[in-house]
Amino acid sequence: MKTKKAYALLLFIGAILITASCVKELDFEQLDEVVLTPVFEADFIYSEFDVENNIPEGTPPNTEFTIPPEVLRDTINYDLVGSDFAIDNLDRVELTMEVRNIIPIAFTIQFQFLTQAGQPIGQLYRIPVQAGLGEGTEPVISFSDPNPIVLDNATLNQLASAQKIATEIIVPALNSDLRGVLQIRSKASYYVNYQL
Amino acid sequence: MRVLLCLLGLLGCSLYSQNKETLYDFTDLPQSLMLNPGADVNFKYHAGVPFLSQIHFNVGFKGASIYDVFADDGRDINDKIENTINKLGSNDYFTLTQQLDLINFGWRSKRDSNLYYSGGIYQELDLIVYFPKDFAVLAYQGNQDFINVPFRFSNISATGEFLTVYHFGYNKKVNKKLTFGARAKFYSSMFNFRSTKNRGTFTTIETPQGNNIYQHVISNADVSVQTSGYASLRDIESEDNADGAKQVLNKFVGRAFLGGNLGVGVDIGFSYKLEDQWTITGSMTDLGMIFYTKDVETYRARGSFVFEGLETPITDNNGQDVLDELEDAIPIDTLNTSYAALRPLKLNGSIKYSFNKYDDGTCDCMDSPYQDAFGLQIFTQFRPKRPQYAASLFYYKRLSSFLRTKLTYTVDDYSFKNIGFLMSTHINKINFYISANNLLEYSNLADARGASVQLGFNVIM
Repeated sequence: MKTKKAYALLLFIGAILITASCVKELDFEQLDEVVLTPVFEADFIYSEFDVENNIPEGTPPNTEFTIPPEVLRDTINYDLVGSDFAIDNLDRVELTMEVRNIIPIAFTIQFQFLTQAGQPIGQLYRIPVQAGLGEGTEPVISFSDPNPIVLDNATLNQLASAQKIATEIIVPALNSDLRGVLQIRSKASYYVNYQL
Repeated sequence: MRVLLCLLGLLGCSLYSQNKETLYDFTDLPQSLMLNPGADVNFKYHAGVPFLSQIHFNVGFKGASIYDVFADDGRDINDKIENTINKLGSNDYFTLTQQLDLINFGWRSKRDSNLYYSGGIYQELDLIVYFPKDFAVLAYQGNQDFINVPFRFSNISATGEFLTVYHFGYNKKVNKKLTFGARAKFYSSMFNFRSTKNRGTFTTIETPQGNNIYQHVISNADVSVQTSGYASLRDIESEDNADGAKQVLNKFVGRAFLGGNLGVGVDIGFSYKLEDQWTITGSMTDLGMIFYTKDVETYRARGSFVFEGLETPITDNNGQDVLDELEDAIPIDTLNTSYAALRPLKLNGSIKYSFNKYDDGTCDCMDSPYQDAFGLQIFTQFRPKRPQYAASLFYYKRLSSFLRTKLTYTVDDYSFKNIGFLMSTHINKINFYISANNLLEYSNLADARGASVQLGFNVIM
C-alpha cells in the first residue's frame, strides 16, 4: 500500500513538473530579421611630399624646376570595395581626405579606381589643396569637396571590378628656394549592412 | 555570426555549474559519495542500475536569457540583441555539464564494518564559454564609436572536455564523530579544447600628429587554442556519412576505455559530528590533472602589428599587401606540443542541524536516524576566469522509510530565487530519485538562468 502511495506521489509531482514547465512565446524565426550594421573606421591612403627631397641635385637657388609626373604617381592594391562582400553587404563607404600643406603653393591631388588590368573605373576624384603659409607655420588643411566622398551602393556596384587605386599629386612648377611638406591623410568608414 | 548570436541566446541563464546542492550530503543515496567521499553513509552495499544510476544534466547561463533575445513580444530583434550585448559582460558565460553513470557500485568491508568501498565509471561533458564581449561589440557595432578603446583578446576564453572517469573510493568511520573518505580517479579524455589566458589588444588610435588619421594596433597578441582529439577527427575522410559517423564513434569508444589522454585525480572529504545533532562536512573533488599527449594540435598566433593605411611612397611602384604584412607580423603556428590542464576543482561544505529522531524499526543501524534536518551549504568551482560560488539553505525531510526529500534555496551572484527539490523513494532495495532546481522558473524555462536535473535508479541495502 505504501509502495502504491509513493508511486502515486511521484507520478503526481512528475506530472506537475512536466505540465508546469514550458517554454513560452519564443520565435527563432526572428533570426531571419537580424541585420548587422556595424561601422568600421579604417585608415585609407597616406603620403608625404617634402619639397627639399625632390629638388634635383645641383639645382641653383631660386631656380624653377618641375618634377616628372611619373614620380608623383602611384598605384596601390586595394580590392576592398571590389569584393563580393562589399557589393553585397556595404551600404556605403565614406572617404575622408585631409591634406595638410605648409608649402606656399596650391596643389591638386587626384585618385582613381582601376581594374586589375589598370583600366580606370568610376569617376576621377580630385582634391584641390590650398597653398600653405610656408616653413615654420601651421599647415593649412584642405578637405575633399564634398567631404566626405560617399561611395553609395550604386557606386560600389560600379566599382565591382576595382582592384587598385591610382593616386597622383599634381604639382605646378616649383622653386628651389621653396621649403615645406605636403601631407595626405585619409580614412574610410565602411557602413556594413549584413543580413544573416 | 549566427554562432555568436546563438551563444548570445544561450547566455540567458545563470549558472549553477556542477553544483548539485540537492544531492550533496543526501546520505540516503550512494551518489552523495561522489560529491563527498567522506559522507556519513550507512549502506551495506549498493549497485547503480547500469547507465541509469545517475543522469545529470545542467545548463547554465549567466547574464541574460534566451527569452531576452528570442521572445515573441513584437520588439525588433536587433534592439533586443543590442540591449543584451550591452547587458552582458566578459565574465558572463554559458555552461553545459552532463554526466552519465555507466557503472556505480559499493560494498561494506566484511573485515571492518567501518569501511565502505565504492567505485564505478562515469562519462562527463563539461563546457564553458565566456561571452567575448569586446569582439561581439566590434562585430555588432564596429569600431567607429570605440576609437582609442582597446578590444581585449583576453575576452576570448572557453574550455570543453568530453571524458570518462574511472574511480574507486573508500569511506571510513574513523570514530563516532568523524567519517573520512577519499577517491582516486583516472581520467580518459576523448576530446578537449581550451582557449584561455589569451592576451593582447586591438585598438584604433586617433593620431592627430601621425602619418595618418588613425593607427590600428594589434599589441602583444598571444592567442591560442589547444586541442586534443580533434586533429584525427578532422582527418576522417569519408564520402558516406554513416561510415564517417561510425569511424568517429569508434574513435570515441576507444578513447573512452582508457585509450584517450590520461589523467589522475583525487576527491577527499569528511563528515564530523560536532555534537549529536550538529554535523559539518567538507569535500574537495576533482583535484587532478589530465596530460594531453596524443592527437594534440595547438593553434597559436603571437605578435604585434601596426597598420596606418596604404602608403603611397610615390617613388615606389610596388604594391603593398597588408594581409601579407599581417601574416608576417602575427603568424599562426600549428604546434603539436603536449600540454596538461587541471580539472575544474570543486569545493563543498555544509553545516547541518538534525532533529526529530525516530525509530520505526526499519533502520538496521546503531543510531536511529533523524527525520528532519536543516542547514547551510556552500559550493565553489574553479573556472578559467574566476571561481564560481553558491550558497544554499536546505531542509531535509524523511517523510517515511520509503520517501525522503530535500528542499534547497540557493543564492549565487546572479540568482536569488533558485529553489531545488530532491525526492528519493526507497522501496525494498530499489531506489529511485529525481532532483531538479530552479523550480520557480519552470513556468517559462526560456527565461530561466539555469536548470539542473538529476535522476537515477539504485539497488541499496
